[in-house]
Amino acid sequence: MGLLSLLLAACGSAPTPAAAPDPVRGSLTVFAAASLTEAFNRIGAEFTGLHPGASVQFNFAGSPTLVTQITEGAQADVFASADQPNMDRVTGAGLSTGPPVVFARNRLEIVVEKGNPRHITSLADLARPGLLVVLAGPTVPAGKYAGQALQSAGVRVTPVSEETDVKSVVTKVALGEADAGIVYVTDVRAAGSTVEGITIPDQHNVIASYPAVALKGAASPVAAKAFIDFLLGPGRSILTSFGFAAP
Amino acid sequence: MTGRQERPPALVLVGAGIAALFFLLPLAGLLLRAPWAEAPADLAAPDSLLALRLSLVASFSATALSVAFGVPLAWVLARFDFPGRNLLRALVTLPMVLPPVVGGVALLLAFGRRGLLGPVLAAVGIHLPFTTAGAVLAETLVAMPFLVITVEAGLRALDSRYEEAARTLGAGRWYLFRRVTLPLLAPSLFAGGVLCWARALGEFGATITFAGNFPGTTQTLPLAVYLELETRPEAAIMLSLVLLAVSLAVLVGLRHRWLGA
Amino acid sequence: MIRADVGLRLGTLDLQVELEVGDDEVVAVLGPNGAGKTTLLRALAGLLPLDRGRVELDGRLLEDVALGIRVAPERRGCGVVFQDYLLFPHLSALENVAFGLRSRGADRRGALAAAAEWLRRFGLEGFEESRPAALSGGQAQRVALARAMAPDPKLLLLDEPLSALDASTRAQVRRDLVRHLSAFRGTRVLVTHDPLEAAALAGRLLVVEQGRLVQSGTPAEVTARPRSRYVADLVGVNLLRGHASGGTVVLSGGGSVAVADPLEGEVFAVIHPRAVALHRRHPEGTPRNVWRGEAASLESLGDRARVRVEGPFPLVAEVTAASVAELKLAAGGPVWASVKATEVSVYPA
Repeated sequence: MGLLSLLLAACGSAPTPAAAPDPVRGSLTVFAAASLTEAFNRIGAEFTGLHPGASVQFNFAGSPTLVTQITEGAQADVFASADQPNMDRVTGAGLSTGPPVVFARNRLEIVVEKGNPRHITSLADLARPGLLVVLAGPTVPAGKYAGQALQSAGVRVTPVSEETDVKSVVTKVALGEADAGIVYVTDVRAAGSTVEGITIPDQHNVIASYPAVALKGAASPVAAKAFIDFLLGPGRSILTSFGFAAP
Repeated sequence: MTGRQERPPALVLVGAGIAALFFLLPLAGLLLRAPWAEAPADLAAPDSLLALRLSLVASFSATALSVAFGVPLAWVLARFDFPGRNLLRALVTLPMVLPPVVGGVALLLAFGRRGLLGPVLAAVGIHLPFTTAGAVLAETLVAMPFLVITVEAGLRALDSRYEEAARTLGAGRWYLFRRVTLPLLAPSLFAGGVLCWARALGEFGATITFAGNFPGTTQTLPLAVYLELETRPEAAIMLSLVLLAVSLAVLVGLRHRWLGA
Repeated sequence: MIRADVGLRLGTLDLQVELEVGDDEVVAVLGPNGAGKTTLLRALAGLLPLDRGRVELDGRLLEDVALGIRVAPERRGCGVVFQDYLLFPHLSALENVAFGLRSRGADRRGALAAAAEWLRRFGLEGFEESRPAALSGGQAQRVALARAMAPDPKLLLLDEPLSALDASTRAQVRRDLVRHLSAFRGTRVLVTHDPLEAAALAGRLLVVEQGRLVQSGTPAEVTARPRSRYVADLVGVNLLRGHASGGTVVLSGGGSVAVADPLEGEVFAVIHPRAVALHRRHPEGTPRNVWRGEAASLESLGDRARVRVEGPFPLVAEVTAASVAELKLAAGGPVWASVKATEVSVYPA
């Protein structure tokens, strides 16, 4: 009797509410560290698939560059950094809403040209005289971590160039202009068949944590929060597929 | 220019005023935000001095190269008719039109280790990327067109009859060039040289792409400013003002020589 | 002494001129604009290569197309005074004059001293440090002349030397130029379109028209016996051409003229406008030459007038103002022109 009346009530006179419009809409600007390029492009496509009323624009660059742009007043909704210190500069300036959350982790890898023509097998090999090694600059997270890794292994390397973001390191190696560089495992993966990666053992490697935060003055605050939630939700499997580790 | 002058029309004054503001406001911004108190420390930092010195060395070297090779090229373009001349002239102006980074990539593809000339250069022991020479080359690529275009125009404007007169007076080709053509060409040459130098000094995209970025070797002042901007914007502002001051000093100091062209 | 056979094509101009000028002569190449005078001068200086011919200066071969020889302008020893002087704007007057000496290796001190002497000779003391822009037309012309003469060239070429000057300066400069030219010990050739200039400066004229040499002779010879319309117009006479036989010249363009001269063959016939009498009716009396025509135009010259008569051939008559009034020539209309046979000057063509 009770079930029947419930059923009747459900199919009966109570009107079904009209579908509420999707609150996640508007244009979303995401500033993200260069190492997130490929993964975030896919995430952006999936996100807009889920929320057709929203559109996502990405600005990929070295984390320090993005921080400067944000502190100088660039309009953005979300900031995803490759390390905590750069994130601290943004939160410290009072430009964020809510606490940052770590959504992914990464590790370093040595990148060399396909075929490894210089037969590099370890961090120690990078100190070989005459080898052209390129690193990200010391203020870029990847560069800072690379320095830590080298120091941990007791290897002194003088790079021939300090790039402004980690992707430039990959490019120089892929073009054959440099013999080796230190980048993230995700970068090696994204670069495909033009390069190879040489593993750095755990005891010297650095785990990079990627925090993300919604920014004050966001044009679409609801969409911003939804994007970050997406990163922690369905985005996780996308990130893993690109080589990132779970947060 | 004292005395009574006819005042330009109001519309012209407004346009000129806006243009002037366009150039003055950024300068004002820099001057106001500059941390004058920390200036000595910022400027004396070894990396800053290194970057300034490298910038000056590289820009003057690039200018010297541009003059040495650009003047003959301008001569050929101005005085010699050959098939493909217009194409060559268009190619020479290309670096002025393309984004500098594209220039950097092109340099890599031509002179890089895997570039067209890479093996040839390596065989002679020359390696250009990541070296100061590479930075000079990058600056020369973007700056030489300014010199070539200015000098070519100057040569065209030169009355070739003066050269005829000199020849009837017994001047051989080299004497003629030294004592007649070059002095008459001097204003254009100077103007072209100054433009070239200024462009080389400010070059960023091609340099960082082809030569890379390393303090003392390839980190010129523009690169240093860009990097400082990420960590210590105040230091970046000071360095920018240094670059500005050096450029102004040269441009204003030589204005009589190069504005007269 | 220069011997040249110049053949070249430049644009629409087809120049073919042979000339020989001795050391003791000043020769003027006279002709209308576009005749090829300046082109000829530039070819002699070596600034334009010949298509055909040769140039020989003082026995030295400067150019010979058939033999493939061509001496560059800087080694020819030809001084040139250009129409607009072309003084080097970045050098002082002194340095300009010294240029030809220093370019041949003379030391600076010696060259400047010699140049100073030249300027003094041309009356330009005090102007040594002046820039060309600060000099007057006459002064610039003198500097240009001194500059061309200082290296002691074997041939001096002057391109319209007085044309850049205004009328008032021209007379004085012309006198000076005569003096300087006569002091020069080499071959002198000048180019001009002004017959007065030619007559004043030169002992012999070469008349060039449309790239061809049409007449050569002293100014007196040329003006007395013009051989081209150009010279005839300059001199102001009627020039006819035809075949003479038995006291009659049958004109190439039609018509005939009775002459007193027994000359036979191809001839020029010159009739001075004053020898032409005009009538409104067929004249009676002795003139054997009478033509009917239309009074086409009238040019008043004070107490005389020039009337252009269109008839079997164009004829210009010079009559008194009184005649103009009497015959009412201003109204135009049919007229009869008569010329005595003895007034027709005939010479071989």
